[in-house]
Amino acid sequence: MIAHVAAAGEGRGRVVLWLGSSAQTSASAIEAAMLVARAFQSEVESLFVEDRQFFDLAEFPFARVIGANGEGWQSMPRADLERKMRFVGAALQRKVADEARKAAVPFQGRVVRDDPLNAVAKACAENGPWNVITIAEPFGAGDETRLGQVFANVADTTGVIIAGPMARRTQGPVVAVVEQFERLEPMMRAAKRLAGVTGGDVKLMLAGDRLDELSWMEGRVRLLLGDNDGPSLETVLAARGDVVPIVEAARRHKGGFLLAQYGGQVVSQETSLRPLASALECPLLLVR
Amino acid sequence: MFFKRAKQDKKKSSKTPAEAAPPEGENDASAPGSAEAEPARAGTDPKSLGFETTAEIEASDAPIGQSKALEALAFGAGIKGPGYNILVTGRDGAETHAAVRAKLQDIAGKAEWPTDWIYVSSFDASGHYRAIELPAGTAKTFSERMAQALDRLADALPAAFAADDYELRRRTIDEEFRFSREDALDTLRREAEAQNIALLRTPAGIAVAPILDGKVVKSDVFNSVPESLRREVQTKIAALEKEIEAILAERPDAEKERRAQLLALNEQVAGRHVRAVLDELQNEFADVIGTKSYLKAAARDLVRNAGVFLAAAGHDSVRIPVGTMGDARFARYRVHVMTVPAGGGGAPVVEEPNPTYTNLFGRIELGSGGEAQPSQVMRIKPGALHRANGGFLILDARALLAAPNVRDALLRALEAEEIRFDPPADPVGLAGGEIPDLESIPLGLKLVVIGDAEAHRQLAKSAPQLKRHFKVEAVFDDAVARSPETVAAFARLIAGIVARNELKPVDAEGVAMLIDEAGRRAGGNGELSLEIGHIADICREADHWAGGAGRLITSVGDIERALQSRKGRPAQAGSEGST
Repeated sequence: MIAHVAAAGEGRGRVVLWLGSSAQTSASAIEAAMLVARAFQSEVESLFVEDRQFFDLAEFPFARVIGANGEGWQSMPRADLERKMRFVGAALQRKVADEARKAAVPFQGRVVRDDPLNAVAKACAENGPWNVITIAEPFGAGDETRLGQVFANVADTTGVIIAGPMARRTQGPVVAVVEQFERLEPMMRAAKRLAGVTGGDVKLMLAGDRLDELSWMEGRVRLLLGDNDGPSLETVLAARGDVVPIVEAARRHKGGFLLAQYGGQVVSQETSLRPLASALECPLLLVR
Repeated sequence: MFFKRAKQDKKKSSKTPAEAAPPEGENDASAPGSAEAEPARAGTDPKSLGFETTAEIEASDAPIGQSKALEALAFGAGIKGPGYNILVTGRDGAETHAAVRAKLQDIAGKAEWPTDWIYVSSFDASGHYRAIELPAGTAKTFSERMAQALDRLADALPAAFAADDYELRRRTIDEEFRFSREDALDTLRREAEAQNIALLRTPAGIAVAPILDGKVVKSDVFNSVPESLRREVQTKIAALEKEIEAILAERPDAEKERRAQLLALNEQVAGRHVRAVLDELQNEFADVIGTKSYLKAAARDLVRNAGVFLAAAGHDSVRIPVGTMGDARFARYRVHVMTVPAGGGGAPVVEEPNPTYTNLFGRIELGSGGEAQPSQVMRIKPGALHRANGGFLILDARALLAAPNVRDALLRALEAEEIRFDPPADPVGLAGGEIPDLESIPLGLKLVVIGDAEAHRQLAKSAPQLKRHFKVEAVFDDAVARSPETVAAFARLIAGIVARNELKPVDAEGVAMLIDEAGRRAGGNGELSLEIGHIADICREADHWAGGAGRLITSVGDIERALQSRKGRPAQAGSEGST
């Protein structure tokens, strides 16, 4: 749970930066990984997974590959694939190492050949009590499945960071979306820790699809926060899976990070994450 | 006129006093003090001059006599119509040039200041430069305003493009484009998965593989299934590959659309700033024909090439003030002023002692436009024809004779009445750089060619067509009749030499000796030679001797010593020095 992440003095957690073998990375995702590691005094493990399936495919005589620019189909010999994987892995690891050095974050890189989910699950299982997985590839079409699989299969992960193609900002306020009153405290603590490294304050956003529940929660939250200088607070009445109000609020606040619950009202498992990921200008940390 | 005057001059030259008088050092028979020469002191009584030293009299630069020549010059300068250029005949020497220059400056000072001309890029594919006529004295202002406009844009455009709003809109366009492809591929992926085929993203691109339970089938497992099933899978894979190829092949159109959207966005963002900046300039020059169309074309080009300002500002639009003037990337927006404003107003009087093509017609300086970019026009330097346009251009006949190509080009310019840049050699700049065409500028000046009779004869012989372009001739006499008035004028002229050269005053006896020297140079026939350069040289040398002796006044003894010492030196080509 996020409470683990937020716990002060927790030094055994880790940020697992999952580098996919497509060779595409989001600079914001990598920056986000470094920020979380700094915020919680943890390290970054950069995991480049050589998808074993590619090598299985390369065994077929009809295996072919076409470049993203449609330059025509080419055969896919295993030797070529091996070489390309090695180069891509080395290049990505070097890139992450540079970022880690700049951010003064402990870093270790690892290259494994496995099923990607297995590899990530193993990496998280080796450490504890918390892991935050950062998906380095920009969040694209069809990635909801992958995200769902991570939450479903990687039991040891506490949260997952994703960055959409529009992500370009990792500095500024941390916008924390709270949908249940009981989650307020850990979310607030995590947001405060993150805000310490993003150079902004915490913007608390209470979200719900029923006005009466939302009003009730707002009253309790205000009572808890009191009159002292707490985070700014606003409420968002939104239908289940309607991410537009959240995106607009994050944009209005020029958020450097958005913190939300996976599987809740806003980021539900049933609806597409595409509208949120494609519009967000900052990384999104989804917690269980 | 050319030939007619040449005859007159020939006749005149038969009794030219200067020719009658031997050069110094060659024949001392006529030197002061010799028995045959006019006695140095016999001609002029120092007491009759009416002063002790030249410090007491008014210094003068005005030529003595020459009223007919000056009258002809004034006539030629004032008359309108084609071909009324002026041929000035006189002994080679600075004094003729000085007299002509002084007279023309006097006339030009009362004339109207001519209009200005500028060269600006046409911004079209031809790369040629347009000539625009501006009101007198405004070209420099226009050029400066344009440079300021560019500097303002260099500051404003990077800021506009670095703004949050622009960045977001740009990325939205990019992502819209990317997502359209991603969506198509995702749809295809889902369809493929329903047929147990996966689309995989490998480091080399997209691959298609048979799957079972979501995993790529091992080749040995695949090979173990019946051949008909394998063939079926391979057929499906081949079909999917075609669809993938089709999706990716649509990209050129989508890419075109993306570029169009980006261009529209850039034009929207840049256009606002460009219009704001150039509208100010347009308002200031609203009445000037040609500036509106130029500024419109410039605005269009600036908007289209706004990226140049971003590149110049540095990566990530770091806000470094950009100087556009020295940067070849902005060269095509430069306004090239082809006229030089007259200091005190009036028409220009330009003297070009070295009439090379470049000096007369100007030159184009090219600079590197950057990697893989064509060379750029960094500067169009005006020639003497541009600078003198609307006024007077003084050239030397012998210098023209030495440059037949330039003479022919000048003749073409006079006949076409336009300054056309068509250089015989490459302009200054990069080898291989293409010289842009410059629109011709109407030529409206008085050409004044100074030379002796022989030079004019040779010039006429080498280019007979020239004669119809010189309908006025001004003949400067070499000597003037001696009279109390001309003697007094000569004394003032000597005072002028003293003043101009900051020499010590010459005493009356010395002045008398100089006047007599002029008489001797004229042949002792009652005239005074007007070789003022020669007199000036003696004054300077006498001043040297006076200074050496610690005297504050140049005396007759110093003049005499100067004359004596000149006799001991071989004749010099430059004996007729500057005045």
